[in-house]
Amino acid sequence: MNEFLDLHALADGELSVEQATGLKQRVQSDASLRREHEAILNLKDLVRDKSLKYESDECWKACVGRLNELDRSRKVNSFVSRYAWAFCGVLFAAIVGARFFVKDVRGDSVRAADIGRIFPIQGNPHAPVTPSQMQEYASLLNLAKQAVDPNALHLVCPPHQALMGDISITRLDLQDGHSGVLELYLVPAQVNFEDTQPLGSDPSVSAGVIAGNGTSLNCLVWSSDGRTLVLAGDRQEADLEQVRTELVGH
Amino acid sequence: MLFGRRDKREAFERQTERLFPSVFGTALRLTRSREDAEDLAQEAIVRAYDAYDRFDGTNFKAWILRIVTNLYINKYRQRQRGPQMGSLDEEGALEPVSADNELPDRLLFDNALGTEIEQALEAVPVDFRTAVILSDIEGLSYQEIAEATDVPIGTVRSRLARGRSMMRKILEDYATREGYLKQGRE
Repeated sequence: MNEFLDLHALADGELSVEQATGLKQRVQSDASLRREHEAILNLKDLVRDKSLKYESDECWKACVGRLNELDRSRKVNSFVSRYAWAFCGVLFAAIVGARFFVKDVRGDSVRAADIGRIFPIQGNPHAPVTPSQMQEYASLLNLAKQAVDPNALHLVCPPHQALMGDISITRLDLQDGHSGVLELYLVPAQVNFEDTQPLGSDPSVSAGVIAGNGTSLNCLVWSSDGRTLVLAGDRQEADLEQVRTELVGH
Repeated sequence: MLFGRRDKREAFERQTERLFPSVFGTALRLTRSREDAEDLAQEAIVRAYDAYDRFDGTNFKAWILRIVTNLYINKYRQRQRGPQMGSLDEEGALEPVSADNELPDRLLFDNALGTEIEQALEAVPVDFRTAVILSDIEGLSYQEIAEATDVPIGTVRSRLARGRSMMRKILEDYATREGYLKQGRE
């Protein structure tokens, strides 16, 4: 073992008892080793005694701040990881609930364009209309507080019904003095047709378009006595309005 | 769990606050820059807190200074690109040292803060300086220094001997003046 390094190890108390004892004896008997040993010890003392004690309070405060931040983020992480499934469940339930809520709120809102699609088959204009059907026609209109001159606007085929959601809608195919069949839809509820626009200055009537079998028909929508009526035909809105006025006016 | 974490935090803070002057002083002596030293000390404290569960409970000072030193070697040293000297074998440690050609290439340390000791440390290359700081200022054992600097104990011994030789050369007049060395002796 190198004696020079051993002197440092001796000064640092890093030698075994046997090594230290042997080296101490040599140090005592050798003046140059003794001087070297003393010089090492003195230098160690000098460095220890005269090195500065630096002011570190500010840095320590910054460290405490960092630790506080770390603890806060750990708390949040721990909370999130522990309750992540619960969060997901609540979120899922909220989405499903919101969907039901929206559906419920908007349950009375339908699209006029869809009303034609639920009657995919046109009424047969050659099918005989029985007296009872005529009576039903009259009573339906009567229920909707609509009156009609049967000679001016007559039923061309039996009324037929279809479901839109949970609402049963009746369609009457009517013929007036002009060519082309008019379709009158009777909805037994107050519904809002979201794809219609108010017709002129009368806010109670709105106009839109319904989709039929490959065709689009102008339509007018209005309410009467808690029911909603849709009059559609391959005509101008003004012509439809004239028919509607006759229905309402009589 | 929450209380466990709070207890851990309190225990860590209690131990670290007491030793923080050593942590900061070592960081400052290694980096020679107050700004870098503050960053290094803070990062070391955060890492120590992260790893506190793995502390074996024996020597907290050696453990935390090991983190400071490792962090310095792995991160700050490359950035600072200070003078690098490979570990010397034990024979090399006996060679005479010239203080003139070992001056650091950057004198970042605020001289106003330094005494003769600090200025002498600043002039010693970082590998040797680290050994002297950890041994003579912080009182770590060879084994603890070896673990902190990730070198064998033999290398620690040679670095320490060479670092002290450099310090002696630089501090000879001062040590004599202060009565730590007798006149006419090296």
